[in-house]
Amino acid sequence: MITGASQQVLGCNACGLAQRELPAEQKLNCVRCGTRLHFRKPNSIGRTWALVIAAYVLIIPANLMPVMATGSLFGTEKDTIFGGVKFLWESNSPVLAIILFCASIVIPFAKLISLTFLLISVQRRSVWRPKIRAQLYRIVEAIGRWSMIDVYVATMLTALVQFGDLMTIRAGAGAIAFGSVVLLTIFAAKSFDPRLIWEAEDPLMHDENLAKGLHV
Amino acid sequence: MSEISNGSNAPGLPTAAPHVKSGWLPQIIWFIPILAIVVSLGLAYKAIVDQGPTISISFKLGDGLEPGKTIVQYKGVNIGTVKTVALSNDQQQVIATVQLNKGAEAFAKSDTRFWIVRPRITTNGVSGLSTLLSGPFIAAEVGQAADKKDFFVALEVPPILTGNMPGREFVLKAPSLGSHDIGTQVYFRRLSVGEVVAYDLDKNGKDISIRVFINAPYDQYVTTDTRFWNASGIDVSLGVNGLQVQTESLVAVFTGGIAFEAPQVPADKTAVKSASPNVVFSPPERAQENSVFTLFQTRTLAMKQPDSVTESYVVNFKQSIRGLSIGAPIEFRGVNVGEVVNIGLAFDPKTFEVVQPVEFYLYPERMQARSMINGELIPYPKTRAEQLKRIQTFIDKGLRAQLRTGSLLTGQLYIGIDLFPDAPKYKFDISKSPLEIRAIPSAFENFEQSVASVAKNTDILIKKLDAEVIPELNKTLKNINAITSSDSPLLLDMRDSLRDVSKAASSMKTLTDMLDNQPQSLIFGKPSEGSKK
Repeated sequence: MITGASQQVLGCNACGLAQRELPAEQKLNCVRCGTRLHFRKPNSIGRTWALVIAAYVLIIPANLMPVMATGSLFGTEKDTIFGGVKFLWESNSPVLAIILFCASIVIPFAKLISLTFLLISVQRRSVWRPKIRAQLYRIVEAIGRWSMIDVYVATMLTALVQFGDLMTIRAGAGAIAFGSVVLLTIFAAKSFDPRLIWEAEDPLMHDENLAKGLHV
Repeated sequence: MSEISNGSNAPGLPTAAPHVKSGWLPQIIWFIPILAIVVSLGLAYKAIVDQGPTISISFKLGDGLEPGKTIVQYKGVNIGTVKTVALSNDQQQVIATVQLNKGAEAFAKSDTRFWIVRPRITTNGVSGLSTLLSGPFIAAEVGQAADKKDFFVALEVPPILTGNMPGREFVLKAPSLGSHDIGTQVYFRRLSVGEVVAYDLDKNGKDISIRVFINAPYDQYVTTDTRFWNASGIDVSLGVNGLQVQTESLVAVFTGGIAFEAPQVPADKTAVKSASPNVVFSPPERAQENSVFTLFQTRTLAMKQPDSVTESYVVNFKQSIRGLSIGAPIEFRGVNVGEVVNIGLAFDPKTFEVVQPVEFYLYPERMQARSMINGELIPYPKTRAEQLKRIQTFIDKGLRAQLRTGSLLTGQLYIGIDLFPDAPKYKFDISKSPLEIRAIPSAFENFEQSVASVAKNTDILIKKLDAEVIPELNKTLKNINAITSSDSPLLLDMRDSLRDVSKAASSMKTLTDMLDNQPQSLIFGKPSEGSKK
C-alpha cells in the first residue's frame, strides 16, 4: 500500500484539499484555506506518548482519592470511584453500577492501553492488521468523551446540592485527577495520527530518514 | 488511488506555500506528563507524610464502628480514622485498627485512653447527642507516659475527667456507697464544684472509698477540717423556729450528691488561744491531694465538733431499760454530752441481785469550764488525777444518772445526768474502770409509784364508803320518803296553796275577758245593763 506522503502529496486537515509538497520548504500552508499542512500530525508519537504518560500518572490518584465528599447531618463521607461502584452494587442498582464501572474504570484504562498499543505498534512499524488497529483508534476516539459522565455527575451535584449543614457535596481531588485523565486521553487520541498505522505497509516509507522527516 | 500512484506527476495539483518554523511547541507537550508526575508525587508525598502511626484499639462492642468512616477525636479535632474493624482471635473483642494523622503520634502513649462516644442519657445529663445522627466516634484522652504503645483497650464508660482539668482529688470513706455513683455531683454552698470519679470497696470489706474530684478553683476550699456529707434527700426538722427544710439543689435531692463545708471556726478561738498556748488554732490548711475524709450521713452529723476526749462510765440500772438503745444520748440538763455505747446484764453471784450495766461515753469537751471572774475558758485538765478529781467533786455535789423518757410516743429512753444535791451519798471508786455513776429513780419511775399509791388510796376510800357512807344514805332516803307521804302536813299545806292559786287564776281570766270586750271600762268604769243595749 502506498501512502500520499511517499508521493509528496498531502491533504489539508481543514478543507480536505489534496496538494503537492513544496520541495524546498519544510513548512507548508494550504493554498486554499491557509491551514498549516503536514504529511503527518507533527510530532504525533511524541505528543501522544507525553499525554498518555501524564494520563497514566494521574489515573492513580484519580482512583485512589475521593471523587466526592458528601457532607450531611450524618457525617462526612468520602467516596472514591470504586467506592461509588461498590455502593451502587450493594444498594441493588447493578445496572447503574455496571455503567459507572464501565464508564469510569474500564474505559479510561482501556483507552490508555489501546493508545499505548497503537503507539508501540506504530513505533515498531508493525504490519499487524492495520485495519483492526484503525478500527481500535476510531473506537478510542469516539468513546473518549463518555468517560466524562463521572465528572459531570460530580460537578452537577456539587453545584446543586448545597444545603448548608443539611447536605453538601464537594468535588474531591480525585475528580480533578479523573477529569484530567479523561481530557488527556482525548487529547492523546487527537494527537495520534492514524495514518501512521499504514506507513509500515508502504514500501516507499521504509527509509527511516524519510519517515522521520515526515513526522515533523 | 491511480492519481496518487502517479505521484509527483499529478498535473492538476497546485504547490503549497512554505511556512516559517516555530520549534518550541513540540517540546512543551512534555511538560504535561512532568506536571502530572510532580502533582502525583506531591500528593503521594503528602499522603505518606500525613500518616501517623497505626494503632489497634480493642472494644467490647463494635457497634457503629465503620472502617474508613468512624473517626477518632480529641477535643473535637479529628486525629485519626478507623481503617479496619475485625474480631479478635478469640472472638471476644472487636479490634479496630486506627490510622492516626500526622502529628497525632503523641496519642500512641501507653496510658492514652480511648472510648466510644455514643448518646448517653444519665441522671447527670445528656451527652453525645451529636452522635445520634453522625454515628459514634472514638474519643481519645492523651496520656502522660513516656513509653509508646500501639495496642489499647477502650474504656467502657467515658471518663469523667477529660483533659488535664485543674483541680484535686480527695478520698471519702463511707460505710456504704449510698445513692452515689460515678458522676454524682459534689456541692459547695449549693454550687456544683466537682463530681465522683471512682469508688471502690476497701480491702477489709468495711468501707467504701469514694474518690471525688473538685474542680479548681473550688478545691482550695477543701481544708483539713472540711466535712463531707450526703446531700441527697430532704432534711426536715421541726424546731422552736418552726419547720425547717434543708436541701441541696433539686437535682441533688433526686439524684443524690455530696456536699462539703468547713465547720464554723469557734467564735472564741482567740480566747482559747490566750488561755491555753498548748492548743493552737491555726487557720485550717488546704487539704493535700488524695487526703482522706469521712463521708457523714447528714450535715448535722458532719458539722458536729469532733470529740477527741472521751471518758467511759457505767451506770447500773435496777429497772427495765426497754427503750434505751445503743447510741441514745446522754444529756446534762438537756445538753447532749455523750452517748450510750453498750447495754448489758449482770448479776451478783452471791446475792443474785440483777442489774443492767449501761456503759456510756461522756465527751467532756462539750462541757467547758469558764472562769467565773472573767469568763475565760479553763482548759480541760491534762492529767488523769486532775480529771478524776473534777469528776469526784461533781459526784459529791450529787451527779447522778437517771433514765428519762425521750418520747412518749415511741417510748425511747435516754440517760439524763444532773446534780441531785439530795441524792444519797456513795463512795466513788476511782480505781474502777469504767467509772460508775449511780442511778437514781427516774421521774417516770416516781410517777409510776404515785399512780400505784393513788390506786391504793382509792381502794381504802371505796371500803370506807361501803362501811360508813351507805347506811347514812339509807337514813336520808327514809326521811325524804316520810316528808313526801300523802298525809304529811307539808303536802296538805301545799294542796291548799295550790287551790288558792287556781282561784286567783280564774278571777284573772274574768278580768281579762271583760277588758277584751269593753276596753273603755278601764277608764269609764263598768257599764250598766241598759246602756249596753
